[in-house]
Amino acid sequence: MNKKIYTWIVWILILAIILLGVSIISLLVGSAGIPFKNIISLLFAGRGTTEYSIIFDIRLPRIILGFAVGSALALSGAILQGMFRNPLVEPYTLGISGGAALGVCLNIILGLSRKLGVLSLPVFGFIGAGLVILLLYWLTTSRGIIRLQSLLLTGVMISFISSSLVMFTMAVASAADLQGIIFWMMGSLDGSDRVLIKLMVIISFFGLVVSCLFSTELNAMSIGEEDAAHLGINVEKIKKWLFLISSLLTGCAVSVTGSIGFIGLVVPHLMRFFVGRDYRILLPASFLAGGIFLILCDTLARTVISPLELPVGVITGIIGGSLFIYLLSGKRNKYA
Amino acid sequence: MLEINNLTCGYDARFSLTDINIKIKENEFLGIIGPNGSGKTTLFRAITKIIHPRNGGIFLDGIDLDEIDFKGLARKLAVVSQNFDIDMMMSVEEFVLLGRIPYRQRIQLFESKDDGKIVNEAMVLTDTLEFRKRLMGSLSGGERQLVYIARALAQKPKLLLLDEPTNQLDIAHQVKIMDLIKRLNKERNITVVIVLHDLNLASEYCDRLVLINNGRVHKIGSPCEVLTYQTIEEVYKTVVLVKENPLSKKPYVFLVSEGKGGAK
Repeated sequence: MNKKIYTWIVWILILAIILLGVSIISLLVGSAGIPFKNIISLLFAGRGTTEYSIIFDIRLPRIILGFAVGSALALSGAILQGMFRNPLVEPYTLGISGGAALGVCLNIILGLSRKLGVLSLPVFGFIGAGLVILLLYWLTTSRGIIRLQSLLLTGVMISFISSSLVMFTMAVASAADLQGIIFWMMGSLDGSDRVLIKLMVIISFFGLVVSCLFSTELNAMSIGEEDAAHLGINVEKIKKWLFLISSLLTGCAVSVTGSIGFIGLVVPHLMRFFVGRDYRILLPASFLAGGIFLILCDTLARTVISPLELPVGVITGIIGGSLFIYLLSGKRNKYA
Repeated sequence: MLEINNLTCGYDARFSLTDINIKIKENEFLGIIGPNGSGKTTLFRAITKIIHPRNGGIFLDGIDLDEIDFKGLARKLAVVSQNFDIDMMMSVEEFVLLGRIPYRQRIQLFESKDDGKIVNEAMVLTDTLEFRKRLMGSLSGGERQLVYIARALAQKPKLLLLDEPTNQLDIAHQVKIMDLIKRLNKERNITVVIVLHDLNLASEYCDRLVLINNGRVHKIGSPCEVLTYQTIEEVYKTVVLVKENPLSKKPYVFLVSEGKGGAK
């Protein structure tokens, strides 16, 4: 048992080191390359210089946001996959991201973010995500048992309906609002409000701590809801908590950075392959790996056609999708 | 130990069980038998709080199940269900360790030393220690059933509920599983309630049988009282021959195929 804990600590350390490495690389590369040795001197004596501003005012907040959003989406994916006992479930395929997107679009066209402040965006994202989860739960549950066969199809349909409604809001939006929606929908970690970044970081860590408290329950639910109840788990209550955490994480992530797909699907899969299926390690590992993945994708988005920038969703989609196809085809028998 | 009083319950508006009264004594080995769809599994699910009574109640050591939370119940009552839809990539040891969940505190992430000891003991008792590192998906039906019983034992229950644990097993494994359950009942003083389809296994191992038909208790009593050809014919609507097993002196039910004469 102790050996298991040591292995888990080693994994966390490895991921933390990779996170640090990726963050440093992301700090240094970009349209303006900055040598590593300059960072220390900039930290103490560089205030006011362009390089200082690039690193600490532009790139660092972006890395922090990338970490917070990536980890939130991966964590949400891991929770949902555990709860539904289905490896294809993630915020995106279930339409939760779509619901959050619709919430944000409604907020923009109703002009609420101007009246209520920028914090109303994540609140609406969260409400949109929460409503989709409740709808999904209500539509696919009978006698307290979630019908997995209809779950994905219903999720995909809700996703389509949300996209159509988003397009509807775009059709009726004013020119200024339309620009705001399109800018937001492309998915970007650039230029976010500092308050939103701080909020996102707090929510991600809060999600990690709370979801880790439910890791035992998620492990129990991997043998089915009824058998989990036989082990003393109040399944219905736990499901509501997990729904709440995952919609909070997804809703906030989507409302801050736009729809960024595949992280919630691919990262927990990849982590299951490396660290195992125990949610006590899978949740923190997915959390760290999600952050690493998004920082990496954002760095690529900034540098591939530099000085122009690609939407980060393009990179996560291409890398995440290819990785997932590879995992499904080649390695399926080892971990699926 | 377990008292079921005037229990009526079921799914939706339809009542699957009506007016069930059963008293299960401490250290008893009680079998629940009955045709398909008679309500055996519904009764099983009511005892484990998966479905709630519409009328009447179930009492464990005098306390209404409604007043016992899931965790409290799982420390007294362990279940071996027929659910094989589990994570097949889980190792046997991880699976048995799940049995310690009812004893874990909310903020306790890791197993205690006691958990390890109890799991080890459960695996020794069930003869599963040697394949503790194997994956659940690699086990045969018989091995898997033993592992399920080990997980239930890790819960340190006073009452063990089993839903057709010998289903789809060969005769050697059926006897191995039933002997193990009997041993646990006698040596560890665990009260056993077992749903069985095989009337001869029920006759051989159970102290008392409850025969359920159409959602009602048709008969309760010793195997000799319940397993008469008249009762079986009436409930199962099939012709059988009931004789005494010369070794155990318990009733033995022979099937009679069409055209081979009536009941004797």
